[in-house]
Amino acid sequence: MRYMVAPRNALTQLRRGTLEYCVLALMRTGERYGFDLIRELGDLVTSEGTIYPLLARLRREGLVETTWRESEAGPPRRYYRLTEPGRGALDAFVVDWERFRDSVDAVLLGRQG
Amino acid sequence: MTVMDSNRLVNDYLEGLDRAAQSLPAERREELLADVRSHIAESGATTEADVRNVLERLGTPEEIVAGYEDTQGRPPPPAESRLRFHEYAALALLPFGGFLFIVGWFFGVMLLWTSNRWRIGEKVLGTLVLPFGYLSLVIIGMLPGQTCSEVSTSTPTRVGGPNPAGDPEVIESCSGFAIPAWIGIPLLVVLLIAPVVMVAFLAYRAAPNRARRSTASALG
Repeated sequence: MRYMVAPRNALTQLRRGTLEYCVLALMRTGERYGFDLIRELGDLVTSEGTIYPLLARLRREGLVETTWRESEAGPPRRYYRLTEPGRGALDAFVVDWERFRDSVDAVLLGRQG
Repeated sequence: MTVMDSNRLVNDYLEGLDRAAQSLPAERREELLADVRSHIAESGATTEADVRNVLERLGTPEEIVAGYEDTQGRPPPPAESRLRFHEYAALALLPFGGFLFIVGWFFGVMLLWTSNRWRIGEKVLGTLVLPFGYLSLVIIGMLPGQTCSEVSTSTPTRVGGPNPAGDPEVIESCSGFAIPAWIGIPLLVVLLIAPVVMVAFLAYRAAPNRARRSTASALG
């Protein structure tokens, strides 16, 4: 059987593994709130609501910390900020990811690493 | 296309999410609901079509809740499919703890409020139905109620009065406060049943197996 696009499952697995680091990366430049993160992640999130369980887990693992604050207009927001361990986990993943990506590219696209 | 319609859409969605999230510890469930509520508010959607779109993009409640178990084979939140001793003790002490030198009830309330299996509203319910449990019913029963004494005289005191047949004249004198039987008896029945219903309800809300199973089957 020939696939017209990549098998759905592989993409799902890739998203699953990388999404949390994309979320952490968005917080590198400062604190963010959920809706704002989702907007920025675009196609990387399929069901937008699933970002909230993910953020809750990142907080439980101590990679981010949160504060509820009033916004200038509209409802109060839960803001997320990277912690030191969060920054560490992100940096470590970036190194791993680059290596992984290069290896996959080398095999998949026939490039020489 | 009214604000009412979109409010109902949102409420229905949040209720569905609450149901789907039954298997989560209460704290985490509250947090998720607050997040999603805030998300919908943040979207600024007011028309029915816009609200529908926002809810669709959020995903189904089941998809969102599955997000808790969905990450790189990390274990799902601690399995809590069975009631623990903590909850059993709370549910036994609330109605009957009062008989254990009264402190038993306070202990039950403490267990109720320290458990993560119930939400605030359910904890308030457990505390207020009934304070001190059945002990308070027993105490109400022992309060001095109305006392009546009847004095009957078989000889009419007045000849030619309004009582010519010579029927015994009954003088009734009462003192104290009483609830009439037509209120008192139904009230007593309600007070007897209410703690049973409360315990059954809390036991149901604390046992997440049902919700978890239906979530799992919905996910296939």
